[in-house]
Amino acid sequence: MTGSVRPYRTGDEGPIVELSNRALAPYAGWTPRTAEYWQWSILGRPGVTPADVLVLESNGRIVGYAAVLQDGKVLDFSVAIDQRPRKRRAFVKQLIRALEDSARARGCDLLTFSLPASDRVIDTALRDAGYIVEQNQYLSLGILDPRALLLQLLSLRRLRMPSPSPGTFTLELTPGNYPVLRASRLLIRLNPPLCVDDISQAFEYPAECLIRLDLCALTELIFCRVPVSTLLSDSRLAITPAAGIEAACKLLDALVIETPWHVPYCDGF
Amino acid sequence: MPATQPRPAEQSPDFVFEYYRAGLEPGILQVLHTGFGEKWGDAVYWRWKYPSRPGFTPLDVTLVTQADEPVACFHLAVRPLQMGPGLNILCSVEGDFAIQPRARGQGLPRRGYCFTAASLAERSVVLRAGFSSPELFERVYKPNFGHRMMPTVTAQYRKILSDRLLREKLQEFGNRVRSHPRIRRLLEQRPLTVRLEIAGFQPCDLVLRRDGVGCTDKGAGRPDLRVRAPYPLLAASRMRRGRAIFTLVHAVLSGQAQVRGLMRVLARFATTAARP
Repeated sequence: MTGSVRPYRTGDEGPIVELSNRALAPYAGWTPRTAEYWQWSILGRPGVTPADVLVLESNGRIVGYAAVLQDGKVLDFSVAIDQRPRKRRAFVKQLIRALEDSARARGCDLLTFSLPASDRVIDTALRDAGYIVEQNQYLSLGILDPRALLLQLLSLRRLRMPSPSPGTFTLELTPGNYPVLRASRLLIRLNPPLCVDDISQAFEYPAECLIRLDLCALTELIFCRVPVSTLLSDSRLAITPAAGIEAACKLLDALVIETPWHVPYCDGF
Repeated sequence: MPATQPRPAEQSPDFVFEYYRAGLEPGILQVLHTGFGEKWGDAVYWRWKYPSRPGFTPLDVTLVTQADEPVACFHLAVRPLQMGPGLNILCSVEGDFAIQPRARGQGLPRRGYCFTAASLAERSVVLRAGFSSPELFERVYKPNFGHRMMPTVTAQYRKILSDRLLREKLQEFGNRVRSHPRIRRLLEQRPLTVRLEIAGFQPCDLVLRRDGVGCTDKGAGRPDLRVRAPYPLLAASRMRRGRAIFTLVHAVLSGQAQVRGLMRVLARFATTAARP
């Protein structure tokens, strides 16, 4: 059922990068790995040697990998997500044991993992091995360029959206306590071709459906999953005229990022 | 001049904001060490983290000087962040903000944030992110930068591996217990020895004395209290209540947790309490 664990060898980076990118795919907030980024982020880090990078192989294929710092902080930990749950559980446990043995051998007092608690296989394996869950990671976010963000989100999701009427919205933004406001008014046209234009300087603009909120409320809506209804009831969002509320809500709902957030330790600052 | 051209400085009556150039490194390190202490890292670490990073540009590091003296520094890294299938958004991940005590309280974090905004926009950066403690978030990131905390699923899992660290933690716990007036009274006559057998570690004796606490190898004598427990039980107080109760019940029912000598210690308590 289990594989074999060995230290990193030159040439492993390709499969490791592929494995990490696949393992992190269900999450938001991580940096896609390239061989160059991985070399810098893991192997090039001061104090890290190839012996600090453990590779788990099964049937000649890399199915897991972990990198640990001298002080026992686990920089990165991935086990293939395409394995059957029972097999994956065995791989996770084997890699944890190997990391503990390696850390003990070098006189490390403490081992610390920063991993997604939503991965039940990893969470259960670590708790069963006696690990204590101590704290969550604290990542905060602000929007610098709302126009580019909305364009990216709507380009990806427009096909999934019912065609709302009206198809033209004007988004009026205030800075809230955000220090920089790059666009105070955006014109969104959903009818092909999709466009999001900065009309901050325009004196006249369509008012078929006017959406008003501040940048912080927009951040909460898109990234923190604060519902449109909550922002409306808290008077942090206003939509006029009333006839446009349904269409505006559909538009705003389409912007929400539902993917759970997880930033691996090695992507931290 | 475009913002992405390294600008020599943005002048203000007191502070001069300057993007990184060779020669500024000692000043940057000095500010970082004042802010975070030597534990932040040395010049080798700084060079790895910044100039050696793939995609680094001098616009990623800002130094603030006042009367030619370095007083603050700000660092960032522009990276694509994956936000789900097919959604990759360019983000400036920021941190290593340090400000000398004499320059604090003058709005430097917000001014530094605004100083870098134009060059980030020219680099097509869409989002700005930072890592902070909840306290720092409430004090700086939320009011000054308008940031919002992301609901992450990331958890930190910790396990003590060495007897040395375990004993250190047990000794800290013993000191907290000893500070209780009733326990101090109990210890006036003679010490209290608790033998701890934690699965995966060498048994040890936690000895609570009137004048201090020690945690040593298991002794030959009979302890007052003998406690056998699995490692996770030691952290039950930090767990959510439901999880803590489950851990305790599971440990007791499975026979992993045992306490011997409790009646003897309670009797000693009662005797001490009854004494005038």
